[in-house]
Amino acid sequence: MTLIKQYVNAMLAKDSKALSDLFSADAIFVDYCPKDAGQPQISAYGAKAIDMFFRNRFVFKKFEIFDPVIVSDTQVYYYAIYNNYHMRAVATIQDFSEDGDIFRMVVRPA
Amino acid sequence: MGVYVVTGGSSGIGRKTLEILKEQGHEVVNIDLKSGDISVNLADREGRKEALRILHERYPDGIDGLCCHAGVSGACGNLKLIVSLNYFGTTNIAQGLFDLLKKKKGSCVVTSSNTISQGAARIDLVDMLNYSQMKYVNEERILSVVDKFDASDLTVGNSIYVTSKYALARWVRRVSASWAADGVRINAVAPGNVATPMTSKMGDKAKAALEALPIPINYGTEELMVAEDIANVIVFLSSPLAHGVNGNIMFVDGGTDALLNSEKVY
Repeated sequence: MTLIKQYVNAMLAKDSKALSDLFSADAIFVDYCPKDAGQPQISAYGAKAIDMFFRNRFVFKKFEIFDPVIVSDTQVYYYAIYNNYHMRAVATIQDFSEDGDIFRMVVRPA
Repeated sequence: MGVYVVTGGSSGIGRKTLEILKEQGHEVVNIDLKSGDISVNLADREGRKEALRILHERYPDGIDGLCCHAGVSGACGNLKLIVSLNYFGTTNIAQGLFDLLKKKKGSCVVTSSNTISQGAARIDLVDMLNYSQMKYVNEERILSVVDKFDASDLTVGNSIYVTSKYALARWVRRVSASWAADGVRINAVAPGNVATPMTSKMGDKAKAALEALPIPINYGTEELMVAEDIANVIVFLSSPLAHGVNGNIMFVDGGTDALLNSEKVY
């Protein structure tokens, strides 16, 4: 299964650990979409930080995605809800680690 | 050695702060509803007045430090108590002891919360609280506003709690410059989730919510911070070693705020 598909599955399942397992220890995850909703952008640095960050978001129901459309091995479009604010977003794997994990992922409004 | 006043010193962070200060050889007075050296209810205006009267009588030459911890959580089910104890129980005591702190160029540390950075505070209420010394926006009127909210809703309780702590932090920032100009430093600590008698009594839902506020220094465990982690910083901030620190809201949360707000550097 491709990393982008695993990413989507983890997001849909709200499984922060499965999500973080896709990223390298020094990975960079940036989501600029919340800024359009007047909220701080999402930034997490490192797989463990990604685990902790999304665990918080999922438990407090502050973030979820739905209706994903995978368009390539590195890109997926979906609707995302940031603190009740709905947006169309595109998530792109921009770089991989030497071990083949996600090193840099960027999410932008689509 | 100095004279320190601690509110809420019978349990949790307050108790640990009191213990450390005593170990350092200071004289420490505990104001607490239960088992205090001065046993009064700081949620009540009369209780605050009585505490201030006793302290002025006992220490006319001044005090070296004031550490304010008395407070309740958002899960206590009493919204008015959250506001009257957490906010007014701290600001009224600190303002009432300012003259004694000034005499010894002492310092004050109040306990806020790292939840203030997570967006749940009601800024309308924060504004009311921070302007509560105005003639028409006093404690009684604010409590009557709070009384209209649904106390049975845990999220409302949490929101009022965060509001009280946010208002405290902003109050510290606002008064810090003029207090420092008179020789009195004031700072706040913003603790993360600490294992205290309060947290041990929480229900499953509240515990799950606690665990979803990750503490990076405890990654991989479900452990909360310990009171000593916070108390050590409070004692430092109240000591002459922290002479250069004033008007600071110091997050003592094992890195939770940095995790959730990594781009916010100020």
